Amino acid sequence: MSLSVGGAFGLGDVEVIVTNGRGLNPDELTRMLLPKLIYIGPDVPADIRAAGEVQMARMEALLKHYFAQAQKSQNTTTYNVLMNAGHPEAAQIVKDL
Amino acid sequence: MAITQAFCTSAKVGMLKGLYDFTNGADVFKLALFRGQASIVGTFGAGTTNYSDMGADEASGTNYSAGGSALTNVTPTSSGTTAYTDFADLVFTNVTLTASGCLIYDTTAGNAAIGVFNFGGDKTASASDMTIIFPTADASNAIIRLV
Repeated sequence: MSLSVGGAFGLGDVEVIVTNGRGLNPDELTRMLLPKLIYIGPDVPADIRAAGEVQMARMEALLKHYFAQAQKSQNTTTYNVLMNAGHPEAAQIVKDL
Repeated sequence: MAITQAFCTSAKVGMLKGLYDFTNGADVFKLALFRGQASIVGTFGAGTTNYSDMGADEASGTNYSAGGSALTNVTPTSSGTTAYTDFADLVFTNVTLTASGCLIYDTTAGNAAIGVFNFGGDKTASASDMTIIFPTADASNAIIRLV
């Protein structure tokens, strides 16, 4: 007679995103973050799923909006730092981003 | 040679010996990148035991430091009968390099290898952000699961 306990180690897959000559933008950051904030499992009843998807869409819009605002606010800060340091041309480039 | 995605066998032994602590703020895990697949000379997978195995097969490039970058652990939890853990997505900022896979290892446990990951092809960044996105943290998809 033997006694054993079954089990297995599992390893998930990673995804790699590479931008092209720039950093991450609000759309990409939102896509990264949203699944970590709200997850709708495959076995969720249809009515709950529908409500969850509505909520997810609202969160997606909010995240994109605030990420974009954070980007603009950072550009404003950088613009002023460059202006105060006597680099108006560089400041203008940042302002035009 | 080749990179085969695998949970390192030595890490399975380490798990049973209680060598790793995935709790947030406990062990420091890092993620190091493998260079482009055409340049890989070693064989990596279940038999990989330590970060030092990477040797010259680790990626190099602008704004990438040997050893890779530290991960942020998400404290393990469970769903049903499956236990799992997760890491926060990792961004290599403004890098210029080519990578074909990565190694997660535990610096607190002497750089013990945990898992080898194949990106399915070369990923090339030129003065860009390279982001490693971890899968949904659930019983079916999480990066490390004990079923």
